[in-house]
Amino acid sequence: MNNKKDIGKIFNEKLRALEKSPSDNVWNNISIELQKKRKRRIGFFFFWTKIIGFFIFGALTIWYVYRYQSNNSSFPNRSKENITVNENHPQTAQDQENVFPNDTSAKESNSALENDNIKNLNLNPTNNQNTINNKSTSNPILSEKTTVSKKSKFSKGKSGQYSTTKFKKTTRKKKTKFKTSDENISKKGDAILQRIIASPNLSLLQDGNKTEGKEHIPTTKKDSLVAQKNKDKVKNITMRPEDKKEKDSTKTYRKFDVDVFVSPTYYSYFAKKSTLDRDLDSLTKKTEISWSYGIGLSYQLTDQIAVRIGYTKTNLQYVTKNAPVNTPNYSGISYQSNITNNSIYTQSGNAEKMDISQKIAYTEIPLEVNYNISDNKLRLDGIAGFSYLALSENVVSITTDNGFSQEIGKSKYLSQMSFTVNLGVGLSYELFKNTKIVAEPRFNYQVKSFDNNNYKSYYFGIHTGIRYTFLNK
Amino acid sequence: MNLEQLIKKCAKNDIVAQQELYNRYKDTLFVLSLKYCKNTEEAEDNLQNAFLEIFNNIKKFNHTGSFEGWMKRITINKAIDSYKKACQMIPISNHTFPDTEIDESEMENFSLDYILSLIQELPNQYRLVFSLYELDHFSHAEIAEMLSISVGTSKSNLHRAKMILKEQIKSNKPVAKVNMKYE
Repeated sequence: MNNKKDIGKIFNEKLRALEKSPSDNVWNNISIELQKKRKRRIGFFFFWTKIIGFFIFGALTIWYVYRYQSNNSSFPNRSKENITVNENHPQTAQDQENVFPNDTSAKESNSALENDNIKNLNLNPTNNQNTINNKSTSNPILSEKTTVSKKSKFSKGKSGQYSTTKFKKTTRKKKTKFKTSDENISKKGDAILQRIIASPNLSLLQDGNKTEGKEHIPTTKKDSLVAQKNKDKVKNITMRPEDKKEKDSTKTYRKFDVDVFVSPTYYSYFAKKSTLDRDLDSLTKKTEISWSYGIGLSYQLTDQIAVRIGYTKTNLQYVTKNAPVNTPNYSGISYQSNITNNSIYTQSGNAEKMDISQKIAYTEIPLEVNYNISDNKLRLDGIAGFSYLALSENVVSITTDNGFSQEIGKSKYLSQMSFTVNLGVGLSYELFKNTKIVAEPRFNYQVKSFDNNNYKSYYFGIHTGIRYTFLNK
Repeated sequence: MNLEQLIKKCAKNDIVAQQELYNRYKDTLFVLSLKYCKNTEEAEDNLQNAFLEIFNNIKKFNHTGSFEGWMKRITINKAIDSYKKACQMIPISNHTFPDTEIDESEMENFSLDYILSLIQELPNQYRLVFSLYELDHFSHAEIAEMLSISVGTSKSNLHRAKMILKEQIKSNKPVAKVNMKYE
């Protein structure tokens, strides 16, 4: 019987019944590629996160340094502002507010003066050629606009009486007003004022006197007593508690620490399961101590509290002992192309058991708070915080009982990124000035370390290294 | 999980959904790859590349046509891309097509694997045209566009493929593994 058909149609009909399945390696390779892609995407995201973070950190640092410096230099800066000589515009006592100039000696004298101390001073118009005058009579904040005449004069008011002066100044912490009431000026007062001017604490006035003023020695006993009394007041003022505080506030204190460290790291799970396959749950697991290392930067917020950010390369290793070789592939391993448990069995010369080693490495960015518990030669801190972890290495390798070793793939369900909650204790001992040796036992509990299950993994390490302190005033 | 949900999850790079999708369609697309590739290894490579392309572009699937058809087209395109580079698609001058019919009984005893091997052992350019036209029912115009050849070349390639297969069936011997080129 002749049943001729086109060869194409025959092939088509026959091949409709064809059923074939690809090997397991195809999916393994696909999943590896998908993970690589995911990692690249995450890497790209975190690249920009790092860049933005770096700029924010830099901006905050610059802002802080700028603010700190501008606080420190507020006096000298202001000294450059609006210092004018005003000899020709004497004003009435009511209008006048005089401010000390802002050079260094003036600072001292300013801080020494109190409102009432030169109240009731009677100035002698005939003898006194020193006028401290203020141009900015309407401005109550005299530190902002100061007018000082080197040849200072106490000006005469409209009423023909000599004005009293107000001295007002601003220090970094406190504004101090210094003014005199509006009274008649007497020879006695003038003499007393001259005494005050002559005092080393009032260098501004002294300056004025250096050029033109003559020292007026009291002529009577009464004069002498009044002058002495006022002098004492001025002396007392110079020792007021605020000044002491100000001196104390310049005490040197810590600002930044930089530390480098290495850490033996122990990795394990709270859950007594295997991350590689349910069949391996009951087998013995062993942690190999790995070495992690990193760098940290701490910033002292207060005497007791510091924040720390860092970069750590965290290496972890975990071994499953005596896993059977001649079995189907383990579900939690992404095998490399052309590698299966059967191929291992063949290549190893029919080995029965193998140790499966998981090597995991993370790039860790910790953000922690250090709370100082004790600060002696041996400093003790409590540490708490969290870390962001980016998976940087994920390798599964085997060693069979007859010595055959091979890298076979990677752990399939390990998350590309995860977090840890960190707790620890910091011990540091001062070796030299600004340099400490540090030992910090730390416990890190991992969150979301696996895609498909929570194995409650953790690691423990002792950060051991050197910390250098940058001191700042 | 229905197909639409699965596609949405795959679009979000859910690895579990991706594996589910792979498991659903791996056999169909593997058989398809086998028809276009020279051997099992190359078919697996093609399947792998095809699935990666599918996962990368699944967001672009617009749900208007058949999803399986969309995946098949990607798989075929991957195979074509692999072999197109290696092929020299030179037009054949001979346009007189002798008879390509055979008696069906001549293939009765052939296993499916053997029939598949006959196709796989065809030279690349013949295999592609034969599979596209006879097994997946693309027109010569479509094939010409896909392979960047003329319709005439597509027709002559198909005929050459059939002639080789006919000779092979008659002699009941595998085709020599020669990467033939157009003359």
